[in-house]
Parts: sequence; structure tokens; C-alpha cells
Amino acid sequence: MPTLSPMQVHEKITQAAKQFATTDTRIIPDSMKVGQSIRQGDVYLTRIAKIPKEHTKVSTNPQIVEGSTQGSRHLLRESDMKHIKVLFNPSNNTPTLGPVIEATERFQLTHPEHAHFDMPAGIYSVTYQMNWADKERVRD
Amino acid sequence: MKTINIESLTDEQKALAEKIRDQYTKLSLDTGSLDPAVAEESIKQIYKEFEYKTDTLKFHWVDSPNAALIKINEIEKTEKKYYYTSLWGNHDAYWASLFDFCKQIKVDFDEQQTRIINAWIGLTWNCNWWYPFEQYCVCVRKPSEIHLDDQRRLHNTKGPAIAYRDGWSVYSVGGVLVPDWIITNPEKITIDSLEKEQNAEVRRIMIDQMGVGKYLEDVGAETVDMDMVKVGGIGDERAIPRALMRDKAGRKFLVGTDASTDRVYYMQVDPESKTCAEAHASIAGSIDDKSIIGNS
Repeated sequence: MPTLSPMQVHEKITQAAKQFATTDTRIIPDSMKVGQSIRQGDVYLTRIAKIPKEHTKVSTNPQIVEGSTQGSRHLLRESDMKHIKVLFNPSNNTPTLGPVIEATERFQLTHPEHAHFDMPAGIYSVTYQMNWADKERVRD
Repeated sequence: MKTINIESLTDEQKALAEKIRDQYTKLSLDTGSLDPAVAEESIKQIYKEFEYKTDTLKFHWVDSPNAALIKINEIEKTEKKYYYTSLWGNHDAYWASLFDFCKQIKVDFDEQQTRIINAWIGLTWNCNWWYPFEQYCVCVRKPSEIHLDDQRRLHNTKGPAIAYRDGWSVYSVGGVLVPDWIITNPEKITIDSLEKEQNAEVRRIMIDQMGVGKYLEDVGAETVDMDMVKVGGIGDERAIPRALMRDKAGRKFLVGTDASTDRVYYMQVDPESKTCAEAHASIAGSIDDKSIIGNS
């Protein structure tokens, strides 16, 4: 059982948050394995082996999550879009399930506030974090 | 107009670009006076270039975008013939600055383009929002206050981030738009109102405004578990703490940061969670906590 009080815990996390705050791009090497994930804020990219057959709707929009406030946009780098396919499942009704990204070259997942990720070419499924109280996708 | 690809700028042009950038940045944040006559002449010129009539055009100056909408509804209660121009006022100055720069480095605009650009620049320097209609145009004076944080996002935790002279305001913390009462009456923030707020960023700001200490006391927080999560990509062994807390109502919260912003979030999780990893899994869909090799 932790011996720190909740306020001490908060302060410890706050201190670490300040210490690690950076917008330096995180470089993920080509050795990233299928099944491994990265997290950018409330969005996860998980490397998968193949495109699920349900993901048939092609989007050219680099925004993979709609945000309701300024600075909440997780965007694929515009210049990478020529070698990226974003595929949605048109019959999806799971709020945490996002599109699949197929990139034939390295690409970046950017965000105005979170550090960018420089990712290896591959196929990735996008997962949105869930708000436990209403079981909906987290809005930011 | 000839198409010219500019491959590089001379040192003089770079210096000019910086000067214009600074001028227009200052303009976009300007809360001072403006010259309505210049704005009106500029607008008339824009109407002419778009072949809209100006002989019966009337101007109405108001103190805020909200007042503009009220005025528009007063004047015209039914059909409104709005003229879309894509040309905006001083809040959009960065966009006009590009054309001003191009003009000053002698980009070869044709005569009509030059007239539109000149009128747009005149408008940008002397008007905030403006709403052009067939018979009238509603123009907004500049705001009286604009507050930014060190990342140049709209930000004020003590009052409006943008205030107009009639009192209409925009409230924002670190670029996140928030309801006014969170700023003006933080004492009204309760655990109940926090639970009802669905936006994670707004909820985080509400906790900050309430005071984390008060929040933790009011919910009766207890720490259940703590662990460390990796910060960076593969090979980066740095780690950052996170905690699982329980409140007196039995709810549980994962407390953590994202390892890139300096923000701390309280995320409600499955109350059955016994560890941080289980708590995270409960809100991360099918993502296995151990599969995450990088956070930001």
C-alpha cells in the first residue's frame, strides 16, 4: 500500500510531468512489433499485421480524431498523406474504435501540444481512450 | 497573373517577412482604436470588386460579435442575404500579412487582385469581425482585452481571455474554451459538476480551478496503487509515475500525465480495478498496458 497521501502523490506526478514536459518528436524504430502500441494523449496506435476486412471506407482526412477544443487534434503529417491510407469501418459503433492506418513509408502522428511520433511504415489500428462514466470516447 | 515559384528569399526579404510578421502579430492582438472611415471605404471597395451594390449600403458598428448577431437579427428577421468573401478583420491578420508581404516583394498581382488586397489590408487594420449583407454591413470594434499564455494560446484563469467592450467575453485556459462560470465562480465547482463534465480537458481545468487539495479532500481520495510507465520510444528507459485513487463513493481514478505536456489528469476508471495497469486497461479499449512502448 502506498504511504504517500493523495496530495503528495499528486505533487509527485505534477513534478514528474513538469520534468518530462517536451515536444521533442518520439522516434519509434522500424523494429516495432505487431501488437505494440504508442499513446499520444487519448489516442493509441497499435501495430497490426493486416487490414481488417471491415475497414473499407477510405478517408483522405489527416485528422484521425475529432476534437472539440482547440489544440486537441491528432493529425497525420500532411506531407505523409501521399503514402498513407486511412480506412474506417463504416458499420463501426464502438466509440473507442478508430480507423486503420496503412503507411508504406515512415510517417508522423502530430499534435499541437503533445510530442509527435515518428512511426515506421506499417499497418496500425487507432483506438480512442474511453470515458468510464458514459462509456463514450474521451472528448478533449 | 503569372505563376512564380519562389525558391528562396533574400536576406532583405527574410528581414521584411519578420518585420511584417511582427506588425501583423501586434495587430491581431491589438485592443486599441481603429478608423471606421478606412474600414468602410475598404469594405465598399471589396463590394465593388465582388460586383455587389454599394449605393444603398449602410454600416452598423457594434462592440462584439454577439452584438453583431443581435443587430443582424434586429435588422432582418427573415431572409438574410449574406455575402461570403473569405476576407476577415484584424483577428485574421496573419492571413492578410502573407499577401502584404507578397505585395511588398513585388509579386506580380493583376490590377483587380491588387485592389482587393489593398482593400483587405485596409480592412484588416481597421476592423475586427465584419458581416457583409446585401443592404448593410455590421462591423465589430476591436476587443478591449486579449490574454495569452507563454505558448500564445488564449489563456486567463482569473477572467476572460478575450473581452469586448460591451462585456461579451470568451473564456479559455491554455487554449481550451471553458464555460465562464468556471473562471468567474470557481467556488461553484462541485464534485457533482465535475462528474457531469464530459470534456477531459475542461474537467482537468475545473479541478485546477477548484484547487487539487480541495478536490482530493472533497472526494475523500485514498491512494490504492502507484507504478511507473515508460516515457519515450524503444530504448528510452525513463519512466513517469501514475497512481490509482479511490474516493469515498467507491469510484476510482487513474491519476497520470502524458509525458509531454505538463498536465495531470484524473480519469475515472473501472471501480473494480486493483492496480494502475488494470485501471488503464479499463479505459483503453483492447490496448494491453504492457504493449505501450511510448507515451506523449
